[in-house]
Order: sequence, then C-alpha cells, then structure tokens
Amino acid sequence: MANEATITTLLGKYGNPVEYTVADGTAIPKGSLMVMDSSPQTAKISAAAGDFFVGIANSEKKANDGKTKMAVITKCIAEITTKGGGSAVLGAPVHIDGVNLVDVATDDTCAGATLVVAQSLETLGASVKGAMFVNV
Amino acid sequence: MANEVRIITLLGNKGDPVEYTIAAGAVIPKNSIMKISASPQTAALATTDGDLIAGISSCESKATDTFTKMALITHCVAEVYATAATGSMVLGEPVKITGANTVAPADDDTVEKKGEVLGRANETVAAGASGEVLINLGG
Repeated sequence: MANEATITTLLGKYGNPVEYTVADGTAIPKGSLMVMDSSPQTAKISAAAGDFFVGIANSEKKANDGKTKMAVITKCIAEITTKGGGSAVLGAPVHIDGVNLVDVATDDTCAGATLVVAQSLETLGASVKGAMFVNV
Repeated sequence: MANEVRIITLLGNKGDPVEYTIAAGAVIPKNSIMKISASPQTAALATTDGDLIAGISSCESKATDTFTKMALITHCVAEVYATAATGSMVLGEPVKITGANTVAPADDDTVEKKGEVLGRANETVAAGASGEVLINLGG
C-alpha cells in the first residue's frame, strides 16, 4: 500500500481510539485511512469517493495473522495526501477519493457530513501531503 | 479587544490544544476566538462572518512579544457573547462568528461551510447577552 497518513499529534485521550472488526485475510498498514465496510462496526481500507471515514489505523495488520479487531484513531492532527488531480483548501473539509487519498469535500447534505475525513490546515495541490485536523 | 470568551469546562485532553503559527507581535488577548488565516496552519483573531474557526487562544500575545506559536483550545464548553443588536443563540443550534468574539446563528447549510461553526449553543440568549456554547472543532 502507499500514501498512509502520518499522525503528528494525538488529541483527546490518546487519539480517542475506537475498536472496529477487520477481515483477517486483509493486510492493513499502520496509518491507513479506514472506512465503514459492513454492519456491525466493521472497517476496511479506504478505496473510493463515497466511503464513510471512521479513523486512522493505529497499528499494522498482516494478512492472515489471526487478528480481527483494530483500534482506529478518531481525533488527531495528521499528514494526509491529496489525490492526483485533487486538492485541499485551507480550513475546508476533505473526503476520501482513493486509497488513503483525499480531495475537497463537496457534499452539501447532513448525510454528506459523515463522508468528511478532516479539516485541512493547509492549502494543497494534487498528490501532496499536508496537515489536517481529524475529528470523527 | 472585548467580549473574550470564558472557558467553563475543558473537554478531551485539557481542551485538546492545537498549535498554530501566529504573527510575531500580534496583539491577542487570552480567550479570543481565533480563525484559520493562512496556509499552513496559521491563525489570527476572528473578526467577521465567514471566518473559519481555529480555536480559543490559550494565552496572551502582546505587541512586544516575539513568539510565533500559540496553542488554541479546540474542545471545551465556553461562555460566548451573542453579537449586539443582530446576534442571538438558539438552544441546540450551531453558531458562527459575526464580529470579534461575538456570534450569531450559523445559516450556511453546506458541508463546505462547517468550518465556520464555532460550536453548538447550550442555551437560548438574546443579542448582546452571553451563553454557553459546546465547542468541538476539526473534522
């Protein structure tokens, strides 16, 4: 995998980790942007626009290592990468748009608010990493 | 400046302070409402409608000071003033800046504009009065 987020500051209580179920057969690098997979409370690595962000993987999981639970960080400052052709605007929200990638959020509904990954603390062009405020 | 907020309860981990860059010598009273002013991660006093909220200043900066970093409180309950004459707060509804350290109901119904929201009013108050606001920034 590539473009994992780098957490620079844990906020709340140790980043307010929340435990999710994950598939045993899947490798999950530390720092992956995690999204809702299925009910109940099951997460997977982000993949595409429309994914519901749940947090950042707090540890590495190798495929078939027997683990089916993972804590994801829900409150922190992290360096997150914009997608190719994407961007981030100072102070504006971003949403998932690719594996571990984000773009400016443009979902003007209450439901769309759950797609938001973070508030960007920098103005960024395509395919670069910048500081973002995650508060799920 | 006037009408600085009064923090009643620090939430999260001591109010979840986040460090921002500020201009050296900027006059910033403690407990001022701060906006995101420039990239990257730079803050200044919030003054007008449309400002994107960064947090509450945790210390004072004087004109003669040379430091350029300040921690802003991002998670707390605070007593905040509604804008005189035109402002107010409605129980349970979001508020945004309309003047220095003063707020009014947020009326921007988009996800993109959520950065303008300071917090959720915990009480209904009239223009010029102060009331409790639950502040939980980011995301």
